[in-house]
Amino acid sequence: MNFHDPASTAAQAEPVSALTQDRTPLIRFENVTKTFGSFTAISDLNLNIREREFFSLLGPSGCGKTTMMRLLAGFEEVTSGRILLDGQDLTGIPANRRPVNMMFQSYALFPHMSVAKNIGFGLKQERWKKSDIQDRVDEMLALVQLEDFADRKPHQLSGGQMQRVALARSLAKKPKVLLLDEPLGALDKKLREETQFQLMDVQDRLGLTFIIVTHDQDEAMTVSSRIAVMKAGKLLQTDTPARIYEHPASSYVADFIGNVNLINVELAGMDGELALARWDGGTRLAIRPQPEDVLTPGARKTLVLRPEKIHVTKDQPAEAPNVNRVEGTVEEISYTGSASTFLVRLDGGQLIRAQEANRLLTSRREVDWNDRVWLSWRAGACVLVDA
Amino acid sequence: MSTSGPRRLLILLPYLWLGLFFLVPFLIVIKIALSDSVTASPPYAPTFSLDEGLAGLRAAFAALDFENFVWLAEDGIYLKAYLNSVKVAAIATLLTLMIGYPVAYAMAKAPQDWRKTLLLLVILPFWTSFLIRIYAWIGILKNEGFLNLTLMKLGLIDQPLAIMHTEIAVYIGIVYSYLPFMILPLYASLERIDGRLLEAAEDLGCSAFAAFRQITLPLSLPGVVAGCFLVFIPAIGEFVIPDLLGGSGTLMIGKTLWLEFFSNRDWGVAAAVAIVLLTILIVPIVLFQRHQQKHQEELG
Repeated sequence: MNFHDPASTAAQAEPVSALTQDRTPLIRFENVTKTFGSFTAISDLNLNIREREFFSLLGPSGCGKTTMMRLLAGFEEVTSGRILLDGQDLTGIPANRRPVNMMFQSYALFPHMSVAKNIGFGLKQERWKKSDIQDRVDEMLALVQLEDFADRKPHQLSGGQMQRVALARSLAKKPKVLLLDEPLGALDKKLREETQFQLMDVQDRLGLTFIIVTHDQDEAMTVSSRIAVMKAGKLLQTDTPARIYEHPASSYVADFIGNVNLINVELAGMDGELALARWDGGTRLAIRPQPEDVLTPGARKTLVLRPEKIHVTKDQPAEAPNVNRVEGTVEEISYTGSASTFLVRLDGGQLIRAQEANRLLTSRREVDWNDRVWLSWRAGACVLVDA
Repeated sequence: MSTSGPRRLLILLPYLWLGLFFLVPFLIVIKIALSDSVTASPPYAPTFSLDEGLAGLRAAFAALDFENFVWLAEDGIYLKAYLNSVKVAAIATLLTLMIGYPVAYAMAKAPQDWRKTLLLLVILPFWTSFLIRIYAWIGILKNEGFLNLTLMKLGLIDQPLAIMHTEIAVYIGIVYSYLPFMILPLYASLERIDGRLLEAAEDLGCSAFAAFRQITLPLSLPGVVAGCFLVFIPAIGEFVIPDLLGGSGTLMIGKTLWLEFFSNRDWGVAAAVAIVLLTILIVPIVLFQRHQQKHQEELG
């Protein structure tokens, strides 16, 4: 088996969870390129999104994720390649005739219309009967729990309420696909978490396909069935949140999602099932390799080690072939309530970030600034990516 | 909450200004409107003076009456002049709106770095005297003027078009002069409309025209109302344009006022005309203020 090749990840049949298996793709991006003048926003991109997926496009600003969404909505046309929705080529179909609706960043509610008028707007364009519009609007208001706000104007609503109106408006026409552009970006943290679960609940109840654009990795991890990590108009990895986090395809993906220690190592050989690697000429590390890893002795690799996989102790842990142990001095401790993060300077000079859940009260914590500590992690708790 | 002495003085200053330069002159105009016309200097009577003591003042007050207003009501020409002024102002406002809206729309849709230049072009005429610009129109519109000569050279007409000294010339003058007052508030309200609203409308199934009708137009309504009032209110009392471009047949209240004041030297009737004009204008001005206030509140 080969290592994940970032460019072809999307085209391959990736290992996915049972949730997303055996479904023909609802949306296909086929060799899609989009340029604005001399700037290439999307570069020869292939992507399949299946029905009923909650799919996230994740990346830093300018990576092309918003362009992907605007291509799907019909606000931009592809420069080359094509996009298929349910087998139908979308090229040349204007935005107002695509069975796709969008929930806009900062909502774009019509300020001169009541909540009910906003929600019924799309239905009115399709010349629905007044009573039918009324029924659907009521249904949508119930869905987002805003029954009492039908006659309010947008400027009389709170941020969270506006967000729900925007959601109801974009769902009223029962689109095949709902696009959400940074849907929770304008909400404060607590409300954002609540709303994430509401979104998942709505998506599940209506059985729709949601595509969400976000730069917030926590949000993407929480809501999505699959995440596509983008950079400079390309897909780096398309996978389930757990695989993106625990088996990143590259050090870029590893670094983009969550905190990570990236350790440059040189492969030394095998010890039974475990791969052995040399770290900066000194320490030997044991790694449980993935089936797809290509392990050539002498090859330079990057070890991806998440801080929470590292154990911090004052006593030296017992020796075992599948446990890695290093010693160092605590340089910094940052306290975030549920956990504490330790910055530990190893004797070789490297800085390692380790995280421990605060199982005890901080006053009882045994590790303190400038203490000598042991860091240990199991061979199966880290993965190798190409350097 | 109490305000200290110097602060109170500062607040008093604008009131003092308004009282001295607005209220006092206005009271003088009212007084003249209630006086009788005489051949003297000043050409009205009575005049207040303290030479004859308190009794003299009382006599002067007793001599004031509403004779001039009765005169206005009895002579049909004033009513006709008022009505015609309203008509001319209303039609001119409509024409200004019809020309100004597309211009403002195009400006608001122009690329960002062009907008400042376009805005400058709209207010550029203000850098030339209003009077000179109206005189320039005489040069364009008169029988042997620029417009007629050009059209005749092109062979489009044989006889010069008689535009000068007609109501059409007055409309041209008013529309030309007041167009910036229409364009600027329209542009301000159109430019403020979030482009994403139109995308959202399109996303929900609107054609471009339907989106304009249902989103752009209602959202630009505050600009339409503001522009219309800004043109209509001064256009009613307009004097220079009908005087220079219009003919003797163009009856407008501003011109009537001028005639009463300078030709007839009947300051009393002229002052009465002015006061009635003011009361007519108060209605749209109050409506305008209420509209602005409501709009401000809606913006939150």
